[in-house]
Amino acid sequence: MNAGARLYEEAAKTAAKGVRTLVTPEGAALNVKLASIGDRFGALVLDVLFIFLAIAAFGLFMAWVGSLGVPTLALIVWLLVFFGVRFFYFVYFEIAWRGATPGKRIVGVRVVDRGGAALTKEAVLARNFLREIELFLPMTLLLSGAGFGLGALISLAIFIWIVCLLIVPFINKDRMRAGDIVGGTLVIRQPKPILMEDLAASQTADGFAFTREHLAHYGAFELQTLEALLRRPPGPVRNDTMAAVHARIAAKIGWTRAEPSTEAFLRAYYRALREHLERQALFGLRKKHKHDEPQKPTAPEG
Amino acid sequence: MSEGLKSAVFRREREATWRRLQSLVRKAEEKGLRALTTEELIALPQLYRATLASLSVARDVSLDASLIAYLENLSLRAHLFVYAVRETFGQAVNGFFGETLPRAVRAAVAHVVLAGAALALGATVAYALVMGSDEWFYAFVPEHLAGGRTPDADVEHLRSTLAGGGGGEGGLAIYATSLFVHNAGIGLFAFALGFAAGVPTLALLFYNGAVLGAFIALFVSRGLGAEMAGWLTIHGATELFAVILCGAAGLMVAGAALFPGDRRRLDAMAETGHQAAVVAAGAVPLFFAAGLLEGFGRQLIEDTGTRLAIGLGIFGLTITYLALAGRERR
Repeated sequence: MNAGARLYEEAAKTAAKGVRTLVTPEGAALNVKLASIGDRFGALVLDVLFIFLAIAAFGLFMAWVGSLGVPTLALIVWLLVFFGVRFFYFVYFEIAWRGATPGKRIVGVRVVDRGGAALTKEAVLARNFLREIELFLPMTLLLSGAGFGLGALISLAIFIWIVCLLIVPFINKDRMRAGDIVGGTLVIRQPKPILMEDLAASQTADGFAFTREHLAHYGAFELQTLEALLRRPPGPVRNDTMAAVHARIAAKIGWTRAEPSTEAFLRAYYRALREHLERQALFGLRKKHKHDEPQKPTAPEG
Repeated sequence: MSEGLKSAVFRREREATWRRLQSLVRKAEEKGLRALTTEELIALPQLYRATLASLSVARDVSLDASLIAYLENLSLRAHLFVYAVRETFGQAVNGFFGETLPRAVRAAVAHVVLAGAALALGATVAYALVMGSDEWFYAFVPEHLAGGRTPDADVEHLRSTLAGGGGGEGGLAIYATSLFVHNAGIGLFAFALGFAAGVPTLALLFYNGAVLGAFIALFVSRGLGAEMAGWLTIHGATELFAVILCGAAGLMVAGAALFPGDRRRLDAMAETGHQAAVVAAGAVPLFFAAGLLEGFGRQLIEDTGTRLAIGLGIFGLTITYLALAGRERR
């Protein structure tokens, strides 16, 4: 592999950063984008805020109920609700809202099974019970100052342990926290809907007679770069870039005819190149980029 | 002319399927799965699989990056509906107690025994040491836990701590609830600690056992053994069992992390973690029952025989349920 080709491989790898492949039970691979640490932290802050607000609001309500003459009952109900919300807020929403709590929904992230299968209630239970040591224990320690009245050494040990847990998402490539490891889950960005028109379907290569020689210079990478350019929103930057690309392509393939419209030329070339590359692919010749020299996979040797 | 473009033909032939799936997915995203009609619910997985097949073909024959991106996006959005948690929260709770929980506990008997042994070992060691010398009591039981029940207290005071009484009914209810919240927290904590290779879980179990053993030794050495048994059993049988279940769950995770066998370590932890979480979740209602027994039962019922009967009876019912519920019919 020459230096140019290596550059392309690296570009592809960078583009795939933060992207993981789920293999669905049907055996198809789907690429998902991992939620960033920032996304997840934002969702967590929102959820914890909601929990606090819910508990506080209900506490105020129960204080009012208590003032009507049933203080004990009010306190008991509040304690039970406190427990229920604290332990089952995440579990409830991740089951009922299919992998998203209110905070996750607002931020736009979602819990999925790491293996691509259905998210189960067991997985949701596991990943959320681990929050005890990841979230609620540190919070309790922070709020109560020194901890549970333990000696300095034990407090230090607990502190180190908590720090170890908190850095787990930073040191594994899937950004899993301890709960995700035990639950077998990933947190991904909720995909935003897209629909784009097919560039090639709407245009023809009429008036342009590109030959095989004209089309042999580029591979799939260049084709898709050209596609991205043609899809850019109109504006002076796009026009300048298109003019530059037109000039480079014309020079490279030896297209000497002067073109009145840069865009028409590029669209026609895109279409012709795609048709050429797709046809070549049918014969097993996949040219990945301009430095690639595809070999027929079944070609007999010698 | 565009006939020549294989990927355009491919797209034209299948586009209707994709658009149908797209409209269903959009509806589900905006209004929830419940908004879909029965026909739409049946169509959803079929359309999803057809689109997934299109995606595989498109990756092979098409160089239209935006088409592949579109199909991938649509498949993933549909996937999140087709393979979501399949139950409503109510069904999940039902299935949990009917089948999932008892089966998970039965499958974890070895871990339960191990966790129980750690607790029993702690109790035995502390019992033997405290029986040998009262001084050991202070080593195991911190001041705030002892609450005046120390070797320095006279027998009558110790006897009085075993009686019920204490506050009006309101006081008891608050007491019971706070006990439940506190104990359930400790139990889930014991499970979560399993993530640290199980050593903290075993230590927690051992230490809880030691506190227990020290108390038992104190009361037995003062000739209050029988009363102590009643006082402890009425709630302790259930509560200790719940602690043991949580500990067992922690040990399961630890076991998978340390000895993944021929599975990848992460897979082993996830697989076992699911079962372990079920066992730990099952302990929560036990803690609740124990809180009630401790807060009400123990305070209102003072007869040792009745205390023993209630404690052991409820413990027996728990074991029977876990042993028999949700078995496959033969």
